[in-house]
Amino acid sequence: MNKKQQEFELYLDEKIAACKQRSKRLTADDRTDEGNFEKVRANVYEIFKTILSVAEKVCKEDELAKKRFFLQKIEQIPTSWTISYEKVKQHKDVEKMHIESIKLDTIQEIKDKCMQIWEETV
Amino acid sequence: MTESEAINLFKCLADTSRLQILKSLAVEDMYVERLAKRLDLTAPTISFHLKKLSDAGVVTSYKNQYYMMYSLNKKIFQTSILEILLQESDEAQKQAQRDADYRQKVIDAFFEYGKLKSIPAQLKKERIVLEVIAEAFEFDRIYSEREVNLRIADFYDDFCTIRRDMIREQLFARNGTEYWRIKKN
Repeated sequence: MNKKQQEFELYLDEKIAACKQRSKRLTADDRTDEGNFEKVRANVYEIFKTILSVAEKVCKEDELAKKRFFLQKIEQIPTSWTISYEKVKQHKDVEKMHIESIKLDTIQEIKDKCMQIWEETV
Repeated sequence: MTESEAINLFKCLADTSRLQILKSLAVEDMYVERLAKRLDLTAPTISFHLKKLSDAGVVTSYKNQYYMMYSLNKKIFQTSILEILLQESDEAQKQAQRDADYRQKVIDAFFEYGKLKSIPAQLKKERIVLEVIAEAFEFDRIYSEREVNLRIADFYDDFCTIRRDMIREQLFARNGTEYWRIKKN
């Protein structure tokens, strides 16, 4: 694993830990729903941590292939989330809309960080 | 208020942020962004909570120029918890059926051809058995001890124990050698 990947993995680990900590604190403060939102965020970071490790296994030493694999997934995965967001928006389901927008915001943040680390723009 | 509405309401109130929103709305009607600033939460999070509060019927909304204003439905808070508890339960019928099924199961297990096989060890079951035997007696009638013993003997040989237990369970009352069946409250 090269330095950039390590940096990205560290970023994801820190985010996961921070979300879990906030979730715990919010739940203890009887803010269960907000605690669950943090779990949703942590989940998205965890998905991309898994993708990073899959990229490592699939692409072995090919750094460029790893980056491509990761960027492809980061574009692919939120497609269904965007559809879902539009669907719940049509039905004015504020609760689900909020959860879908948390997922989409988190993935955007991951994407920005990914670009920043690999010093590349889409 | 139905039972499921009450559960919804209590679930909704058991959240610090939502309680803070309600406290703010108790002061005056507010719009999402103002609540967000006051409570240091994001506007989407406030909208999420307001939706839950609206669904539970504790908050209503109205349009005021460009803003959607939210206000407290004070009427719902005038309902006392006791009033909610006294509402007939959606579960009441099911519970009654479960109780009846259990009672029948005990009767089937301890009676055979109208005779009691043995006195149940569990008080709850014994109570059911005693109630069945008590049904052989009329209300508003005084029985002598001999009459009581004879009727109980139709069910079980150890009529002394049954008679004593029926007194203990307040199915029967006695005054010397006179016995009478007690009506349920």
